[in-house]
Amino acid sequence: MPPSISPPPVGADSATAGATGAATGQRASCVVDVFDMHCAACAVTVEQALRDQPGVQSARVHYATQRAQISFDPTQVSLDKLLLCIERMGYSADAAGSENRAEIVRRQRHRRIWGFGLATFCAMQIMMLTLPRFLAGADIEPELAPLLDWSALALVLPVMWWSARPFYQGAARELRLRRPGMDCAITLGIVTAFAGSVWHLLANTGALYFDSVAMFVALLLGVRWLEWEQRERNQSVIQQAANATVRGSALLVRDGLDGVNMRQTPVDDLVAGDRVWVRAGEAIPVDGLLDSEVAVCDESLLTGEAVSVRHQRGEAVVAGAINRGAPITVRATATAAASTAQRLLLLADNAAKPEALAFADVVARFFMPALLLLAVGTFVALLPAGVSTATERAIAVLIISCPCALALAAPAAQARAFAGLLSRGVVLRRASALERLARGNAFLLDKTGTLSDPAVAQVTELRPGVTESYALSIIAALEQAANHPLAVALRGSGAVVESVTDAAWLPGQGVSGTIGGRAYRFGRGSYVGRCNDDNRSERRLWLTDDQGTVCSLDLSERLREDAPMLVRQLQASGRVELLSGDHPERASFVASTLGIEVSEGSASPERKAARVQRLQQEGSTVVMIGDGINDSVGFAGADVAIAVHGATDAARASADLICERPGLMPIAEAQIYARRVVRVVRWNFGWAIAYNLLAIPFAIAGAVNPLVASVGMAGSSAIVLLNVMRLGGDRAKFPEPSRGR
Amino acid sequence: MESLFILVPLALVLAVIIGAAFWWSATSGQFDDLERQGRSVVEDDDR
Repeated sequence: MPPSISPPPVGADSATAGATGAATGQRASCVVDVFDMHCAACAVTVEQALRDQPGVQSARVHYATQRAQISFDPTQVSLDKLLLCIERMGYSADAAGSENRAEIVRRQRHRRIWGFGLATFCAMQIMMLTLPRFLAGADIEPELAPLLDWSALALVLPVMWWSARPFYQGAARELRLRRPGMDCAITLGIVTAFAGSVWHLLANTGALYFDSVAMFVALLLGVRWLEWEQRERNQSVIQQAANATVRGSALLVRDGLDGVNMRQTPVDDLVAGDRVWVRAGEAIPVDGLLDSEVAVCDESLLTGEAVSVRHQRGEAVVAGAINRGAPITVRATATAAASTAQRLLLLADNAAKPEALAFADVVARFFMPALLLLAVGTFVALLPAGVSTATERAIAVLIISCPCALALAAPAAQARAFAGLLSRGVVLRRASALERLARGNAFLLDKTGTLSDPAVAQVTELRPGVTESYALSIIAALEQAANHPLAVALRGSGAVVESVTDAAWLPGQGVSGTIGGRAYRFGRGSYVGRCNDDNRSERRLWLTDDQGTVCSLDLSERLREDAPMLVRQLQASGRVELLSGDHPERASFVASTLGIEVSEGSASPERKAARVQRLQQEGSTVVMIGDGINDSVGFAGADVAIAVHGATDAARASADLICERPGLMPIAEAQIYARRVVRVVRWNFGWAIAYNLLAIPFAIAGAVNPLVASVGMAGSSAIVLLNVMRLGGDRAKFPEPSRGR
Repeated sequence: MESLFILVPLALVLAVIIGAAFWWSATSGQFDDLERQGRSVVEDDDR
């Protein structure tokens, strides 16, 4: 049973609490898991229903994470009531993050296995009973026929009662939302065929479709189960990205009588003016002004700039930047929702929804009426020939034209594609993106973190008599004192063999220390006493001792090994552009190395999004590949967004495809795979439509006997499924995507 | 052919028993993890 709202978990880390129920006066907010949403259209309807509830201030339902974020007035409406509201819509809901989720998923899996297994088992038994009936035809002994028929009925009852239940529930939901879709079509087909068969059995006339019904249900359930399993597997990956943004807590600093005290507070509750303590390595939760003397921030998520930025007291710092230096305090100037990182995330989330609604509408408006019209038309037209004949033909039309193969054509291929891509190290988040990836002809690439690994040093100058490895080991030793991304990279470049005394670190400038009685300084030109003589000085670091320069290091980025390969492959399918937040010179250098003709540096998130739009206006299908928060606005607008391995949470949250395998190979493979999937889906649709168009006239004409009808129907689905199998799923065995990044 | 009048109902009874057994195995989690047991043979630790 859903729990009631708990009081705000003061002092507790809210990441471990169930629902982040935080009541502040007249406002409470919570995160709720919503189950059984199988398209973005569902998310929109749930959202609408929640907003219509009195007392609800805002509601957002994320389809990708299967979660709802609700803020409401606890005096007017309770959480229980909101959960009930979602359940009335035909979905199940539960307070997010609770242990219940795993339990509910487990129970759902059991239900699916049971339904599918039962239907398959019964379908096979019914086949055994009906096959002799078909083969023997009129030769069968008159007493034996009813025995076989009634046994078949007994075996189809459990299928109708248990296995087919999800279809009834789905149909009821669709009707309640006034958007009849596939579930309605399937239910109509099953129920009519079953009722008609029972009537034929009682009247001892006409054909029986029990085997077809059971087979139909079994096949559909099997496909849906497969798809559901894939979605659940993806969920855990996506959930991680969402968890990082939906909730979290910060250390709120208060000046009390007994000095400064700190309190763990949900990020959502922070208001302008609050002072927040940010530990080293933590992300700054809200936009604000720096309250400490100095801070070193890694803003590469926001700007794409690999070099950390140094801020003085009173300067503005942005949410999402990671504190690479000592702990700092920040005075908030905006709430979390209004802060940069959050703003970008929300932008990205909103762009995702409308398309699924459109498809559901097409089915509701055209497909269902056409099917009904055809069946009713057949019935009416054949009424002069007798009610029995008319009913039989109408059922035949419904059965044979039941969108079995058609309904399987896309989802089966998509389910397979989920698995296939996952084995290639790519998580597919929006199935529709596959089709767009296959025909994508404009590719926007990010530089830092995507095409190149940042901050890898290269020794450029070396004092004679000093070996490179010795110089690097000194630097590695000195950098022990520092804590920023570059230091981490440098520490890795040489073995630490020396011990350092009186080490010091001036953030943003350099490190110094004494090794073996000799005083070393390592850092920027200005820090070690060298003038900045060329424009590359920003990226050149010096190691000096009392005799002068020992060596100098150039900070460079290393192109990923597979970058040229990916660029070549993409260039074969369209235009490739490089858009980087980094220095224009660096961008054009990397671009020319890779043979990319168009490149742009210093590109802001908005600039990237604008470029996406421009290309789309020119009629291109834009595929954007990136990793940072600065890409996420562009991601939302792009036709396909691909987040590379190690991408930031923001980029992952708004991406269509997420790489879970290092390198750029997965992207290249995904493109090729997407094309194959699209080919198969097209072939499937072609076959399913051709089959229906051919079979329906025969059914109307009465040329379809039960054997042909059931074999035709099961066969058409089987062909669709076999065609999907042709895709092949597992390529090289790729270890399960790691849970943590 | 008369034997069918016994065999078919018998088959139905058998089907019910199998169905019940399957219901138990599905709902008690027998199919939850089909890989771990197989893999446990080649895993190192004795836990």
